[in-house]
Amino acid sequence: MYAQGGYTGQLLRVNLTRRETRIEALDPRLAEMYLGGRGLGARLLYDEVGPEVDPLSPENKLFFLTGPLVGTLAPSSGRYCVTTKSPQTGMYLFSICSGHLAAELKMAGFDGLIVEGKADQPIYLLVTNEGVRFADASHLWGMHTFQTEDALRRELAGRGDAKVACIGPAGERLCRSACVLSERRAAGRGGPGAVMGSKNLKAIAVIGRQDVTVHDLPDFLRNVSEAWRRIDDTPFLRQGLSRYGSAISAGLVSETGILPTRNWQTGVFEGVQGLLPRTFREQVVLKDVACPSCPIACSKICRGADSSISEGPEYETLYAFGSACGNGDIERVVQADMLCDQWGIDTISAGVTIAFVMECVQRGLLDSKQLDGLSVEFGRADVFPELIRKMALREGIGDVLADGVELARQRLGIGDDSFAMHAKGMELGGYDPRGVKGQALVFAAGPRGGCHHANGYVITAEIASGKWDRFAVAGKGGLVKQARDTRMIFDSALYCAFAGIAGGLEVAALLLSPAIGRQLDVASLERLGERCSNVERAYNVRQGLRRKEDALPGRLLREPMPEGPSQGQVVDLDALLDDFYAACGWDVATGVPTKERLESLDLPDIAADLASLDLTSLGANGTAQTQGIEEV
Amino acid sequence: MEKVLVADYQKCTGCRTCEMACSLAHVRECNPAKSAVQIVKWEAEGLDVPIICQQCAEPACAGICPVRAINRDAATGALTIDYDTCIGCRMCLIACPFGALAYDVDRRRPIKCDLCNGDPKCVQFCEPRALTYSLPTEVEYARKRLAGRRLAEVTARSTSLP
Repeated sequence: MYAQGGYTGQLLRVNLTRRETRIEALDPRLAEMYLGGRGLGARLLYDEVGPEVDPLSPENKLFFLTGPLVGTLAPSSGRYCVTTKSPQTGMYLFSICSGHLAAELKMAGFDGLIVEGKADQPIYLLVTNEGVRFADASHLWGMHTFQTEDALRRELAGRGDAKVACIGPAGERLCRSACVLSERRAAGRGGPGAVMGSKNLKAIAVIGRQDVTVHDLPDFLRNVSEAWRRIDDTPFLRQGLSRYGSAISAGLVSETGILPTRNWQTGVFEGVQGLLPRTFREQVVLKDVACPSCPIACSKICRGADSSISEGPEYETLYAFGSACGNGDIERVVQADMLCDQWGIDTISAGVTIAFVMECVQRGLLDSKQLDGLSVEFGRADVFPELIRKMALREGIGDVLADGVELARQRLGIGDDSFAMHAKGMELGGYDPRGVKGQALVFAAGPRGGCHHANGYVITAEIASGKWDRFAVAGKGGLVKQARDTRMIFDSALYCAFAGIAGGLEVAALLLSPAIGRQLDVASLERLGERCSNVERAYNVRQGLRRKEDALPGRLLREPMPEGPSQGQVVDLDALLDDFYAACGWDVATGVPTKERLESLDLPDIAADLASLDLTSLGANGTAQTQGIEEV
Repeated sequence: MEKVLVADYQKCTGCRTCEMACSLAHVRECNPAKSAVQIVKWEAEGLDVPIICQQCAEPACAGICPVRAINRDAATGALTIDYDTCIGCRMCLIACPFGALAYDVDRRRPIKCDLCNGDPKCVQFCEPRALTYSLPTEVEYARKRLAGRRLAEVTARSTSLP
């Protein structure tokens, strides 16, 4: 049906309540306006999941989406996007995972899979070119993610090499930071695993055999070679990521004094030696592995404490279970990484929540009697395994901590919210914005909460490019906006943002144009990226988000960085938000996209929707942070 | 002397770009299921092993073929399938001790490495250089050097012990 390549032209819609499936055509106009993956997901969610929907109810939906580059030879293109309403933030959520499932879904004939309703008992879905099977999953329920995936692949071996996305016990128990796992990697943030769990959907297995096509193959192959060459010419990728993985950031972040330490009390960690890239490489890395079609191979198989073996940790996990918890023992970080993956819980959320409890203990607000007798103190990395297990199983103190740091704070009765390190309910990634001001906007105004990259990744520009004063406020709004719209293209074409460093949107246009048979350039991609970003923002505005929800923990605004290369710095969030909203064409008083900007991005229908909202008060459902999500 | 295609699983990162390159070269589509090289993975151990035709001296696939469709190419030494002769019976898939042949369900015929007429595309796209195409003497010599170096290291360690 699609004359051009890049798409299969079909979406598969599965209703778990009625056990019905339907194959729908992908509207070519949607593909043109939103590309695929994250951008397409934002629009589908906007159209199909309204403000009244409880994220853990059958009315919420899960969109598993590929993009036009997925399943091709384009570098680092083996990724899929899970879009849903987040049970952690009560807002828009996308979460991206790499793995062979992405290409397999296209080979099964679909650009995306939409899951609706709720099964009456645990099931898994088997998607093949012949159709969908609703299969009993009672024998898989309770298994951790590695076991689930292995069991399913064995069970389905007669039909081919099944590619799997599944949840662990944390997702089954609706932990609000539960992830979806594929091949030891995770769609980690915001709790998509809990949404799967709420639908009694343990796993999705895909076996496909259809060819993946591109529009102009000779042209495409030429441009793929160019993209590869650019990657080879980028020292940060070749000498940095290929060898050390994302752990390479630990060195840079530490030297800049923005490595969040002991729950963000400081940006300098005296025990950082154990977490630095060289230590990491020499002490724990066993082997380099790559995501599909990726020449970089930044993923590392590591050996940790108690004979644990994990793919990872990534830098964010080094921060969350390392410096944030006052832990310099890399082997304990590897172990925590593996356990989080197995139980199916997000490493950043789990680590930051534990770090918060550690500070409560340090301040004398909690004692070990309230913590099931565990010594949850800074540096006590030996408590990680037991705490992670308790969180995933909602056992004892684990039940209090299982839904992330903000709900934990409320349940523990800690009145001071200035040191619960999250934005909109999602725990912050590992860069202290006091020493790198653009990052404050990434956290505070990000479309899915306190994620470190969803609103654009600006760390490298600010601390390593030599072009920016990292303490300055001026210009950071424009920097973040541009990074945001660029990131959106990588996440929608669906290839890795690390590969995207080599050539940016110029290379994205080179890869996409011959793949889909439509001439794209940097300007048209920037516009497309901005359009998708505005749909995300509009979704959250409809949900009740306004300027005051674009907030950060008080610690970052009021406590000057006590020491190190960023000493004395705080975040002037108001000035930053003014700058950012102005750059975005959003109303500075409310943070809502203006009618003019939305119409200029071909979104008149969304402009009309927002015009009908009362912009001075909250919307129907509010956000998790402002109104609190109902207890499970 | 004919070059040989060698897979070093210790270098393989499991990205499977080789599969994509192979299917593109042979059927002009991206489809790992139609690739003559396939990576088998054990994620838990971080093990990725490329499985590809060894171009055996005494090939079981050619031996079992009822219509003698698999013959050695004089220039490259590759065992290639003559699709005009092949009847698609899949006996070669069963006979191969490595499972190194695949089956194209759309064209109803086996897929086998033909060394791309002496310029294997999988090797060209193998970033970690797990797949190499070189003279057997080079492979042998490189392995000997590696083993020799390891022996020297171990000896140095043990003699430096108190």
